[in-house]
Amino acid sequence: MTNNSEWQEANRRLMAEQREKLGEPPTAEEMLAYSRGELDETEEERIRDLLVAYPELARMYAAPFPEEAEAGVSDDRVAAGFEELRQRLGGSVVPLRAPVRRYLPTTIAAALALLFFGLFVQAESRARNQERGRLPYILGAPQVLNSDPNRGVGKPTPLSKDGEAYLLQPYLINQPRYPHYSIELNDAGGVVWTSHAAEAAADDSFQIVIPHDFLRAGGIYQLRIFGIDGEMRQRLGSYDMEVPEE
Amino acid sequence: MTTRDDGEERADLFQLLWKRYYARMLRYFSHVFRLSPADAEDMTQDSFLRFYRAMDEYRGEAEWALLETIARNVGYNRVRSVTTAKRGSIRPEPLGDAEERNDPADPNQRHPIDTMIETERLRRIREAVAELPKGQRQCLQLRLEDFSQEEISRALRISIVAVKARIRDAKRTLRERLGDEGALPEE
Repeated sequence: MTNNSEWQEANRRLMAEQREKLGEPPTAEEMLAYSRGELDETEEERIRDLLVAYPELARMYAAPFPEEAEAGVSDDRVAAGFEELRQRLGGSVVPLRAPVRRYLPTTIAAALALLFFGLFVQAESRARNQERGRLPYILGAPQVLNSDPNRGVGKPTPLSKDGEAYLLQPYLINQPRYPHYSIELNDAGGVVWTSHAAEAAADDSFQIVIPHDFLRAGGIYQLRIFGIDGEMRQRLGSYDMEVPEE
Repeated sequence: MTTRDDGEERADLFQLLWKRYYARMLRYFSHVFRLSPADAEDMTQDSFLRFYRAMDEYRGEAEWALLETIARNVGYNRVRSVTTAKRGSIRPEPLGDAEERNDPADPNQRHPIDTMIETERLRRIREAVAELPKGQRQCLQLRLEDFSQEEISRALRISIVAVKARIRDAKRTLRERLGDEGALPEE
């Protein structure tokens, strides 16, 4: 019987041989193209071989970008880091503004006023939406959204205003199946809607109906799909969308 | 009414993004790379520096995506530079190397015959893994590096079902080829 450390030792020696044979790890550009599925089959297979020979790179590639911030990072540390960066940029960026805690009483008063106003607006809006939800409405054709969680900046997909509500159909690409999914809709200010009742179709797509007036005309939104497995929550896809002007 | 110029808007946006993403990026570098706080800080700074220089082409649609791409690129380049420097430093140990290192005066030293037997066993295992069909070998090698099935699936861009099947087939092939010696420890 061979124990685990012996298997790992044999594997390390094999990886060393593979690195000798395959050469240097892939470049950042090659990794980006691999993540976007832009390589032909031969190149894709070459990158897979290199990822196996350089597991540090594979680990990095497979790691999701954290949703949470590093714990224990104070405002002072954020400011000190910014100051260091500012000096590296030759002072071409203005210093980070002081944290707002100096204006705490004013901030609290303003926050409370906003909170009450927000609650009022939300109650009004809920009443309107409940009324609308009881009425039938016509859907337009599904608007297909494609994304890759590792993808860089791209133009948001323009939505077309067919029917009386948007019917969005985002697809997951090359993602494992999860027992549960959740979907978030974000605007620049944060999450505006969440559902934990999402179910993936057999073709790894979802269907989401959004009433036209839920989205601000001309606004940019991002739909995010998460896979849920027990305590684990993994972002699987992000989809930028642009709402048409009125 | 005065209009703020592009430079001021750019600086404001950069500050906003720094405040929003600095601690997330630190976490990314410290957890994924297991770097010291100082090294994670360096890489975070490098990423923001590159982002600042790329801001002219940035249109504000999805700043997190551009930052993430830049951070990953900084990470890939680091792995590339470190592994390139190390490449060749770990070589497969030829049969007999271990024997030459033996110090006969050391009473705790293993017997040279035992060392030779072990080296030979590792060679057989290595060859058996190397001769597996490519898909099975790739999955098994990452599994031996303690990757989870989900991580293997993401790294190789294949489904989890395929990962499970390939690992299962690899185990069976090794067992057939090496007998008890080819049995992988239970997960």
